[in-house]
Amino acid sequence: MKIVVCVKQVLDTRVPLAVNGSVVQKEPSPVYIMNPADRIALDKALEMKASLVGEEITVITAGPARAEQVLRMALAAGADEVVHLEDEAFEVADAYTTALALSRVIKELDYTMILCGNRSLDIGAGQVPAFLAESLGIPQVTGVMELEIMSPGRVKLWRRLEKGRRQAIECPLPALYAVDSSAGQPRYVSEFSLRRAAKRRIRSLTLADIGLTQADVGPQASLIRVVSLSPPKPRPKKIYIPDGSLSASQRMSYLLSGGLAKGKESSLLEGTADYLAQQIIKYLIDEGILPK
Amino acid sequence: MTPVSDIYWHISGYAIFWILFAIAFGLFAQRVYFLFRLLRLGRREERFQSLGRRIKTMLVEVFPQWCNLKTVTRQDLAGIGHSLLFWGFGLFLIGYIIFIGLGGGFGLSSVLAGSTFETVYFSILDIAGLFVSAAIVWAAIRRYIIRPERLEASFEAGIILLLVITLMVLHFCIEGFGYAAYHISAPWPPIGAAFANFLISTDVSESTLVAVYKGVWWLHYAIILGFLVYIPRSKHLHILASPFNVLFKSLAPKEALKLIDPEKAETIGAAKIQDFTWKQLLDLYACAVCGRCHTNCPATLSGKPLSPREVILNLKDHLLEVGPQLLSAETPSANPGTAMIEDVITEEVIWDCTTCYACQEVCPVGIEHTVKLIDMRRNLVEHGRVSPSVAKALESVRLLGNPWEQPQSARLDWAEGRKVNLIQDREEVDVLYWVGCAGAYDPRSRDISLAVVSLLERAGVNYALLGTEERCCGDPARRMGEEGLFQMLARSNIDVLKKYRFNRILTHCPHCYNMLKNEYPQLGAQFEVVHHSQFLLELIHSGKIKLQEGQELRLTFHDPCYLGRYNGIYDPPRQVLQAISKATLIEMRLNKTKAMCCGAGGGQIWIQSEKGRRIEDMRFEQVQEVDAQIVATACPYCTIMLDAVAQIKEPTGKIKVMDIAELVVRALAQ
Amino acid sequence: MTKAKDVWVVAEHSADKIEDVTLEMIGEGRRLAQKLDQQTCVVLIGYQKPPPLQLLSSHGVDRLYLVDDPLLADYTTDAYASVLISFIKQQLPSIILFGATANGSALASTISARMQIGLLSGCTALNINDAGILQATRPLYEDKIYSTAVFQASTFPRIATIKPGAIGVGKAELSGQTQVEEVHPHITAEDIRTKVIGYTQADPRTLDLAEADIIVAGGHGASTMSNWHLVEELADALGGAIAGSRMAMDDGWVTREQLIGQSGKTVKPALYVALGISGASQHTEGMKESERVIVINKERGAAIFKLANLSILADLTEVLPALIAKLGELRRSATDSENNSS
Repeated sequence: MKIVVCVKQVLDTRVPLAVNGSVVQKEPSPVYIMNPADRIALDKALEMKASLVGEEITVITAGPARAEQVLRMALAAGADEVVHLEDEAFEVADAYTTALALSRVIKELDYTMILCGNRSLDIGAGQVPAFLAESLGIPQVTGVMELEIMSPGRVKLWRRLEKGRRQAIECPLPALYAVDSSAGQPRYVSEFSLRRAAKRRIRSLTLADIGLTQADVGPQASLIRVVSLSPPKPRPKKIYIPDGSLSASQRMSYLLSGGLAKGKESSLLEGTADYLAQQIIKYLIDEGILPK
Repeated sequence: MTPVSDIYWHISGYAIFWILFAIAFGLFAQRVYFLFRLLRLGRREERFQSLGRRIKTMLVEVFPQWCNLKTVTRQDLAGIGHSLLFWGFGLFLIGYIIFIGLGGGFGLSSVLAGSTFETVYFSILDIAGLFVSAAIVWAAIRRYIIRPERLEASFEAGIILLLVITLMVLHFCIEGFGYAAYHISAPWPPIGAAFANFLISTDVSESTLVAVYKGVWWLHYAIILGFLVYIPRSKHLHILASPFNVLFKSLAPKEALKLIDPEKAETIGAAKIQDFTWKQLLDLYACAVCGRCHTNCPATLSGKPLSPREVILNLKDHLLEVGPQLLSAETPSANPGTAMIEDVITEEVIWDCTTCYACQEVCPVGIEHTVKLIDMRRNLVEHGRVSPSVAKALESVRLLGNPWEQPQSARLDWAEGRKVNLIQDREEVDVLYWVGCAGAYDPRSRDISLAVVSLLERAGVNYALLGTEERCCGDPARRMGEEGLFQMLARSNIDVLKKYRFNRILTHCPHCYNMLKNEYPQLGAQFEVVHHSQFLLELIHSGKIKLQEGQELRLTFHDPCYLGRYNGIYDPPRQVLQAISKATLIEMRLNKTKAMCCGAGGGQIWIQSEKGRRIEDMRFEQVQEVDAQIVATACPYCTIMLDAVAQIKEPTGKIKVMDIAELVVRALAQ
Repeated sequence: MTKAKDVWVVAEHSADKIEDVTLEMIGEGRRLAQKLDQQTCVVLIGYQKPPPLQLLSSHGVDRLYLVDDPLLADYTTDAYASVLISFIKQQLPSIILFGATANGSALASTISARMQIGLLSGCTALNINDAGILQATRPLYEDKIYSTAVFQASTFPRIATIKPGAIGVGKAELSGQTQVEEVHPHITAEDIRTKVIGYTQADPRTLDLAEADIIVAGGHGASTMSNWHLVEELADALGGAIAGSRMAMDDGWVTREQLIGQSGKTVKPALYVALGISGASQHTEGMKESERVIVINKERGAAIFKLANLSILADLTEVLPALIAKLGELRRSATDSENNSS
């Protein structure tokens, strides 16, 4: 069974970010990683290959030149073939235009299953899976935690719902499965294997190769436009979830200013057990944890 | 006068003698050759350099038995016993060659019999025989009655003890019956003569005496030959292997791991027994199952599955088991049926090691336990078989240049608000202060860096930091088996260091110290590195730092593994502490070469073995045993580990954990 | 072209209740609707779902569309998307809000893809600016950067998914009557390519900590034989997952899976209750991003108080029984009033 895995290179969010037109890192040299959910998706594909269910894994990324890094990682981890759809326009492409480009590449490939991450660490719209599946005309399952090949063409998956619930669902192949980032721990890839991967071949495609121009994937072609970005503020320690009856702007100003709780600063409460229990419950009600 | 000259059932005694010898020696040689061929299955390794120095070491360790005498402590005097056995048996061996070999087999007994040489030598042997017998009895009592932790009351050990004491008894019998049977009366050799006199005083007939004498002589000969056959088939193989093992001991700084060239290496690390080098396999032969490594290993002591002794013995058994199959296999890289990693040595055991070096420090025969474990780690890493916490730490080192998941740009945050010298602003400095990852990012260790900097300034040292150009020295990566990552970091750091001009590198972290000094040369760098304990001592002695007089503090010192056992630096930190406090430094029971690890090394602080007790808890309990108010440390990891325990076990601060730099700052004269 | 009308909220619901995020969306949707002079409608898709009219009315919902069909009993993307799309084409709403949940996100993305319209996902706030443009605030880069985004084209409907917990549930104090309209869509089994087999529910106590909204963690101060049950009872009372520090794990009260810290898990729950935890950095590294932290500890100088939103200096054995008892009372009176009102 041939598996296609779509991956994205993203900025490592452990490193301080700044806004300079777009989001950048304040580091001597920028640190990029493969989107964690995509990494797990790749691991799932590799597991299937190891258990002889999957035969060939092709990993694709649509990104600028630097995105080669994640393809090297994929090779080192065990991918058979990697494809780089390379253009600077993918720096700012939205989910719709990215998926459009990817679908054109994938249409030419022979595949049974497509795997990708549920959402990316950076923009995190989580829309590429749906766009891809629709343009390829195949069913999609999102939030995948586990998957099991029951028989050729029949797959059972467990989707992650809220509060620890899982939905077990059967989805026939060919299909696209979007894997949740908590579906596993990324398998370690050694430095030596990365070095060996540096010598292997990457299949490179340009937009022209798939019949698109920069305008087709540029900001004008996107469905969503970012109007402004706020620079990161030190994560407000005391986020107070405010009253639902306040307006959006009021709520935003609370969130960004570090919360109303400045006045109600966390001073050490002491007293009788009853009094303290009372205070805790009041806090929980105020915060919306307990119903009013 | 030896019975070899007799005729037995029409067969010449000589024929019997030499046939028996040929059989025994043949079996011995066959086995030794087999073992030698197994060694050749291993990878190559250069261990023949500095041959002169090697031979000298071997001679010193083996003949004066320094290898065993150095292990003697008040609790464990066994090294003395073994030395007596060794010397005694050495004398006997020479005796066998002369009197049995030349005298018997070559028919020179007529020359030797009755000679002064014989009398003198046999007298020496009598005394030696007494010592050996006493040593054997002592050994048997220890092993089977007292049963100390490190000795196994095994069948094999029992056989050997029995054989040796039998040989001693037979020696006296040969003398006694021989002298009595042939009417030789003389006061020497003392025991032989006394026994002979006793026999004469009984009314045993001469023919009986002669018959017994001959019987005992041949029995004695047979047992010696039996021993010859048994030695390479038992743990007594160590008799043959250990002198060579000492000869081929590592001359490199302790624990300097092999540099892997990924282009040339067929397998990264060790997955199968043949992936080890011949020397690593020789280690397996040299083990005498003394168990010292077992009782000094912090993992074993804290109840974890890892026991260095078991690792060595299991590997040895595995080699002997799959050896024949491998020798007859077509390719040398054949996969033996049993998997070395997981069947013979479990992954859990491989990750339990803290690389504290206690096993190797105490091993009398120079076995290198940790190198094997790390070689296996290297293979596991190559296949991604690491736990999530290890993966997280290694990824962090790779992407962010430190294992603490902090950005590289934050490397100077610890110095915020404080003016520090950066090398990027300077032409040349005397001392480059290498802060290390713990010192830069860990909340507790930052205090150590601040203390060092304030001392450097107080003393007017011309120093500077690398600032945000510093990256992890590579110790966690290398010790956890990520050799490629270590090489990448080392090369990057060396390139950065080469840009600047400085005389020495100063570091407060023994791991960084060990890396920069002992392992970076593998990649072409040669730096002069000094640990802050040594440097502070220099500053104190030269008067650049003045301390208050007359402070009385109850201090004890916890020797860091990478400072003490790895680099032999035991005194400088003690001298610094002595300069701080008038009161005599309190020494813990397990100190200096015997110091117990804090549990963080070898990447263990990220590996976090699950079974058994926490090593740092045990070490802190040892601190609590002595009446100290402060336990001084000289390594940020030791500080982190012991301090975390102190927070819980001594929340009121009755015992504080402090780095020597912090103590010096507190003790500064105004 | 008929002018698009009405703000819709696609309800998130589980077996027996309407999820809070629906109420949050209703609040936000209402604000938008009032500004646009439109109605606020809730779309409840399912099979034989009892309409929660009292609840919706008190939150100011004008109209409830009850989309009912046996094939909609379980959420499948194909069924819900096709049903909703044909309904959208019929009714032409101007704005549709979905919860940024597993199902809500999947549904919204599919609608976006099939109708080729933009989707603003994971929004924490929506508003209509002075130029009459709908703007959304979206966190990026794991909540480190906030963006303001708009739709590029002028097609309708405008669709967005709302992050649960970002807006807060408004007060249910409005009076009015929600109109109900039943909708019976045309849908056949052939339209649905996937098949739901079943559901599993993790025990809240042993829930994967990454998914728990509420975590109750015990440390050294709680790890004694006589105390640990208080940790468990509090977790039960709050519906939270149980976790612990290294000390608790070493003492055997929690498993490696429940360990929080440098060598364990990193969590960001909505509420973290730290019981008898000193606050060594090895532990706090794993929970410092929690939205709210309640600390109960009897050591005044415990480092963990630095991270607390609510600091309680007390003995666990005294405070917890009282707290657990009060929580029990609250739950009982809530059930009583629910019973009374239905």
